[in-house]
Amino acid sequence: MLEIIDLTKRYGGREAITKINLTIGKGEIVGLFGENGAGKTTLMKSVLGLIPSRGTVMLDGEKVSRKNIHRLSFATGEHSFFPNISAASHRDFYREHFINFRNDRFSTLMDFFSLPMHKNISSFSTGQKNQFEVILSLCQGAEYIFMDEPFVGNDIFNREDFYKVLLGILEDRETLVLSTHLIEEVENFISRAVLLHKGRIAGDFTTDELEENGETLIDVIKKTLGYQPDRVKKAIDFSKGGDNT
Amino acid sequence: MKLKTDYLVPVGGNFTNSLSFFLITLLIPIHGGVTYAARFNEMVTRFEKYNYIQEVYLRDLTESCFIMGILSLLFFLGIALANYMISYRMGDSKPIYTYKRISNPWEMHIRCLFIPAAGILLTVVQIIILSIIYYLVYAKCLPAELFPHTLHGQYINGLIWGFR
Repeated sequence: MLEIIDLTKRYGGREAITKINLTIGKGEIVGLFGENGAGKTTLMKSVLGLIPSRGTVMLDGEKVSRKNIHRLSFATGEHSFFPNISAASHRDFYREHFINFRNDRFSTLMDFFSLPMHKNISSFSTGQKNQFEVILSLCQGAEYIFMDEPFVGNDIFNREDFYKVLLGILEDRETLVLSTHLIEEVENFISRAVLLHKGRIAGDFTTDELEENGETLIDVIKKTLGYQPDRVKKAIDFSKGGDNT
Repeated sequence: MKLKTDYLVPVGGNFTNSLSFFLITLLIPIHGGVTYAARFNEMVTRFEKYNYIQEVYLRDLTESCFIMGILSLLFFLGIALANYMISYRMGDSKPIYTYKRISNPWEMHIRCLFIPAAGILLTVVQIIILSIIYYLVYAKCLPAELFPHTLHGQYINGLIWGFR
């Protein structure tokens, strides 16, 4: 179980996330949603210790540190691979540094996405780079897999392949925390949605609860985050000199 | 046991290239030595051939040697900085995120600093050894007539670099 306790991150005088408290159990597939600047990326980076923050992150009762960090993996739209080595060299590096590296899964996914094993990653297309980034996070052997906008730049077919692959290969002990703006695409396979708004948790519910209430994820998100559906019409009317009241 | 040299440069770096650059940088202070030898030879030849007497201070002979030494140190600091920069961001990726998620907190620093630190250490040793050689050559081989008048016969009294 991953426990996030009072996690706060400040950039200068501004708090990017404020006293976030969240518990994520094994096997959950959590969607992390929020508008741009809501704090999704900051939250993930703080949990992983990639940026300094205040608060505590516990993994099965122990603080997340270099000792147990191998149990968390991270795929980011910013990418974290080494561009001028090949996929095969990445495999060797990961094998050496992550004791539970999943070699079979790595080979399977590389084959599935037809990625070249011996070319430097810098020669990959943007879509291939994203695929490779996600493959590394899935093969590290981590129990908690964090993905931050991993499909930016991938076409819809590619993304659909990914969702299928994710659903097909994730095991019960593996937990996925996925931050994305592609809400409608992921709503069918996440089990829980966490909404962030201005650095705070604005909503946390399971998809079962949504189903029971007969609501869709996108509607709940819009409602929770205070989306004003008529604001575009108002803006257009205003620009045309019409009544804006 | 074979030394795994790839561990001594940032991931994706080429050890052979880094080693070549390392050795070339180490040659910079040697270039200072060549300059010293040329100047020294010029002074002695002038004296021996034309009986031209000019006071020769050690600092005049070694000026460029120090500049070369400092240049070499700056090169190695530059290599360290470049290593950290490519470990933080390379192309459209931030490998720092991977370095920060491995159990060994020193991995990135060892990769970034090993060659520059070895270079700085060797350069300092080189400067010390060359300085001793410069001094010994000056003290033992310079014709007595060329020693600065005020220092003649007492150059050894703590005036290693010829400062009065």
